Amino acid sequence: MRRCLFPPVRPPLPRATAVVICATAVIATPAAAQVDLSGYWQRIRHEWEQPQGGPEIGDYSLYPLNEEALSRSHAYDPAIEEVQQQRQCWPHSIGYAMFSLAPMHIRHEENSIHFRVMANEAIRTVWMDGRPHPPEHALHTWYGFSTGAWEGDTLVVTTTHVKEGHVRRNGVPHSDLMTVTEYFTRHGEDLLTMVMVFDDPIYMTEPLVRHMTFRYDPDATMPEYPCEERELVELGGAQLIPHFLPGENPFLEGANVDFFSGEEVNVGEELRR
Amino acid sequence: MTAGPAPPRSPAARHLPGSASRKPCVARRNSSAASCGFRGTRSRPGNVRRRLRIVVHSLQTLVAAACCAASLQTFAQTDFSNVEIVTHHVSGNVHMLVGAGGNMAVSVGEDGVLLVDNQFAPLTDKIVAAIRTLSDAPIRFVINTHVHGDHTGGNANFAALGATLVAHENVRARLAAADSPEGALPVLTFDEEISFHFNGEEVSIIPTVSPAHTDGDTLVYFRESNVIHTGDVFVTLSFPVADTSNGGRLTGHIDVLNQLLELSHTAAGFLSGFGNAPGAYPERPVGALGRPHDRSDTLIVPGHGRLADEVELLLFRNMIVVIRDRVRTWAERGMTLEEIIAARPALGWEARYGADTGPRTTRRFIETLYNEVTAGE
Ligand SMILES: [Zn+2]
Repeated sequence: MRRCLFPPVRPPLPRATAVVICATAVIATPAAAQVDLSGYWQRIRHEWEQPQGGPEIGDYSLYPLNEEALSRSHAYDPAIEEVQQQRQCWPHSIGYAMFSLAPMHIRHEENSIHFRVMANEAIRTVWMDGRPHPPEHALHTWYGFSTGAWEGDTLVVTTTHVKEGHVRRNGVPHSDLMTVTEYFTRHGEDLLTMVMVFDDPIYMTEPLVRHMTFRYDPDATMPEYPCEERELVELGGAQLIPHFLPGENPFLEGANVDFFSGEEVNVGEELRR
Repeated sequence: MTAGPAPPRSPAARHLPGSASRKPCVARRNSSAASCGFRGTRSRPGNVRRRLRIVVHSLQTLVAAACCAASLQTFAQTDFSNVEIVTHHVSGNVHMLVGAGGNMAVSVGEDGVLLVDNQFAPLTDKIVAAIRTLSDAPIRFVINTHVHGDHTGGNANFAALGATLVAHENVRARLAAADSPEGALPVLTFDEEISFHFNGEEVSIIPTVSPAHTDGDTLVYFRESNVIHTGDVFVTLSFPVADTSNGGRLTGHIDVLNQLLELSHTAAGFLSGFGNAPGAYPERPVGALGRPHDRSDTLIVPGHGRLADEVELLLFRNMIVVIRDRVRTWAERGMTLEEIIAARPALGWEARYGADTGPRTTRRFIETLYNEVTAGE
């Protein structure tokens, strides 16, 4: 059986294997740390919470997407997750992974800070020793390459070299040229805020800013996230990639009604064809 | 996560404003463990040898390096003086070399040096100097992934240095037809998979299952280091190009990318690209990213662009399929080529891969697709 690293966006299934790893929160304070962020942090509820199970298809009206991103998003057919062997159990990239429902664990190391934001072995390293980012031709990964620095009491993390992924779990893409800047600030004993700025020259008209707040939770543990590769739905062989032709996505009808104006946005005539 | 049925795809299931029904979420779902394990069944082409045809051509009189510039008149005026050849360790024995032209891969070790592709003739000295930072051993073999001058331009120079040139027989035929100097012609050709046993590993030289970029496309798989040089059938900087004058076929890229996906694999699938769990892979050296990459993640050296892995192969294939489907459907509905180009079937990837000038334009990409799908491919 194989397990994957998706954040548990829905309560575990009865038939899914839900194993809880008993982890001990080791709280150490190395000299390098400006502010101690170590330990388990449990996310709190936010005003932007989406329906349990993820956003609706076609719902990205408040995202700063250009026509390229809209074309990709409109073409997105969730069936692609069902039929493609290689995509099954892919993790979320940094474009989405930090918004996991699972707790986040932070550990200060000698010259780095480690974040565990999803289950199992997915550890994100933020280098604090001033090393440069890799050259352009280096490998890109799901979490990218991160360096950090303290600006006052705020940890500022810069991430490049991320694989193409999504910023919303309904097909809204980010490119592999995206740069992410994160600001982590601890407020007293209990609260930690994270502001993420996604700057993507390929798919966004302006930087996308998202935020999240965590509450310190020394009793938290990191749940193992079960994911198994499933039987493939046979839809016609390896050359069939589920997608909707421009203007023919049946899920888009009525989507993207602007909350303020009531007008339909992001599904303009030019994209319906 | 839900175990519900696949999202409904009929218009009847769509969400209507004000209705209580929800559109399907796009959460990935679990299934029974019985579906696991198909990765292990991936074929390894090297296991079955079909008719093997290796031709060793008589060693030609070695031609002085200066003369091969004549076959590259297009580049004669190009100033290579500012080009720097950068080496980048990929995995095991294999390094990627980046300069001007196609990416190179080099295997260094006890048996010597094996080089895949060699960019332009005027860069040979710099390429050799870069290799010398990795190894003082003789450069014994040079493999061409395909015929193009930005990958084979240094052939004669490396032959003059004592390397044996190896390429698909179509590459040799096309180089010969292009009046390349004799010293630039491969002396060992093949039209089936062959293997080198070099620097402690099997290096498989694998013709593609279909013509794609050209009709001499070759994949070079360093099996122990677990690195594949794809030639130009996979690039990360542009849309794919089928050089139809050299037997290329754009839709053939889909078949070849599937072939590459069969060859490559990632450790436990999902770990691809994390690979930095402390203690998880203690035997791995820390790479250029400051983190170890799992030993069983196949790394991909593309013909042009950056280092990649299975994920990028799959995304690139999907892109070609989606755009092909758009072009084919619109052509079937009677749209002309110009109407299809105006409708921008590559929208979604134009900013990332498109171009208006040079050999790899968006227009050429769409035009070639159109020609192939209307010819019934
Ligand atoms: Zn080429």
